[in-house]
Amino acid sequence: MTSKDSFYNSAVNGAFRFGNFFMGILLVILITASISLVIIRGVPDFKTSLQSAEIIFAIKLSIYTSIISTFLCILMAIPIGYYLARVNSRFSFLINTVLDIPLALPPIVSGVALLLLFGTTQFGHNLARMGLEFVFTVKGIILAQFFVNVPYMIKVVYTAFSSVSTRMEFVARSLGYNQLETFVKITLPLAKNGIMAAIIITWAKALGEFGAALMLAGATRLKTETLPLSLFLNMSTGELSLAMAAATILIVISVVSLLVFEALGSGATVLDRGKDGVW
Amino acid sequence: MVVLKVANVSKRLGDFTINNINLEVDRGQYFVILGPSGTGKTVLLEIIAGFHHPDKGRVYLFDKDITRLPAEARKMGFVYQDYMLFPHMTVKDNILFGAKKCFPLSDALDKMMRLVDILGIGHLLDRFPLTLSGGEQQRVALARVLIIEPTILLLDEPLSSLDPNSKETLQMELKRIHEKFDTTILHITHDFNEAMSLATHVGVMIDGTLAQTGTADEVFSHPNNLDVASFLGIENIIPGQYVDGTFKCNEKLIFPAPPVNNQNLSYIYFLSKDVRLGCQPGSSNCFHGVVAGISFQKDFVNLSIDMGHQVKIKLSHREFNDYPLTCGSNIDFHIPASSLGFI
Repeated sequence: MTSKDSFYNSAVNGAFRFGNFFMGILLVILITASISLVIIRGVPDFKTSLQSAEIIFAIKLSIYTSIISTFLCILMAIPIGYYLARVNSRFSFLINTVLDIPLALPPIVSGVALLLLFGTTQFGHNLARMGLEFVFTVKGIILAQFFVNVPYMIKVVYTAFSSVSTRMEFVARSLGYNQLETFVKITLPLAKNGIMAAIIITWAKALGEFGAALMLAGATRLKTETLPLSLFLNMSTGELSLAMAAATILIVISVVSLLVFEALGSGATVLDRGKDGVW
Repeated sequence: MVVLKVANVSKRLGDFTINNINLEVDRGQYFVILGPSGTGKTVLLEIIAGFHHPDKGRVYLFDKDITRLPAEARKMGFVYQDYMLFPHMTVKDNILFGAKKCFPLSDALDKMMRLVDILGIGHLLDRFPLTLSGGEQQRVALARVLIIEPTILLLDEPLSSLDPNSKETLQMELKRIHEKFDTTILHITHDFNEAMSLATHVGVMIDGTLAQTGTADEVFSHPNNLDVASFLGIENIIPGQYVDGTFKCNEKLIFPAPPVNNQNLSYIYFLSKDVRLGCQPGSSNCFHGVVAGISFQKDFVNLSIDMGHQVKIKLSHREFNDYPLTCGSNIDFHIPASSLGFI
């Protein structure tokens, strides 16, 4: 190789590395600038906003609905996630494919689908008569959060269970433990971090759920007003300080839960030291 | 007494297929199934343990059909190649895991103390598996299954992830365990030497079928087909035919005194280490050839002799130094009739 070639290659490598780095910096600036602006606008009136009945109501309702919907997600995601991680059949393939649909849909469309099912069909009316009224109620918010988040949680839980070796379970079986005992004593403890991560990220997503909840539960002040709905309502009526307060709370919760998720999820994704290589 | 009987078992699982496996393991045997990697040995062991149901065939334990019996009811001890210790439990909890199901806690603790003493792992009880060396993990895995007093011990390549030194130590440990506990062991491996040193009985598994079973001596000295012979590492397998009381491979390689008389034989085989240099008057199976290649190894020297077919001879360095051999040298050698085998 001539020295001219080598100079040319070094120049290309340098430009390539700088290009990648530059794109990253550009995006970081965009994200931090926009989010910081929300926080900067929110901070001055944050304390007074936190004392307003509306924000207090929104915080309480958000926490209440998100905890219940996350709990329901756990109830469904653990058995389904485990089933998908262990069974390889046409039926499991079918379940997997159907589960992907709500993941790909815009949440607002999921909301419309739920509204049609529970608002216009005999099935929905029957449930309403039994006290399970979902349309324009708090129960609707929970259902919307559940519907949008459960496929996502199943995916994360599935990954957590898949990382536990079936051979580990086989050994437990041969030592006298049946499938349920093996699941409780071996699989669950070994998948614990992944499941905790799934719970936290699901909870954070439930707190921020907007589109489906708006469609199914409506946006009624002090009735179905969760934090994102409060942000929406106050933006539309020009109550900027209240809107920014709600946004700030949502940002803080999202960032904290993202960090916890990353730390639990793989134990290494946040600060991955395995990628060093020649760079 | 037959402890384990596998009758006509077939199974297809992912990329692995095993076909019509028949196997009997008697009480106290150290049975090694030897076969190349990817031949389905682990699948067979997992079927025996009850982790998979066979597509066809039955599995019997002490004459009782256990084909559909759940794994937890079989009381078999299973040790995987990577030991599969439970990483979230201490060594002590790992060992007691199965024992707690079988015995009252105080008995389990007594048994554990005796076992860890024998295996020399008493100082590890409070450690977690990820902090142990390969050899230590293997001893813990053995303690975890031995404590439940298994009907049969199933070992899946238990020595293959160890360095050569620990491998040798643990090989002896396995032998000691087999004698001391009077256990029946079914051990699978791809390592010929491991099988040689441990097995009382051997089965050779090739392409998902059990090609030959028998005592270690029988299988190693009398492979019954070409696949087994080449898998067992017999260097000289030469095609030929039985002609007028001789076995003739070509004009240069005629064995005048074959010890068997069978028209259907089509291969003669012998180990390279059994070939002797020189020819005494009157000794049978004497040949004259030309050295075609010499390769030096750490412990021995391999000669390749051109006889129309390549004949391999293995010499010690001392033997080699006694003869001034180079490529192209003329050489006389003979093969004792007792070293010859026919397929």
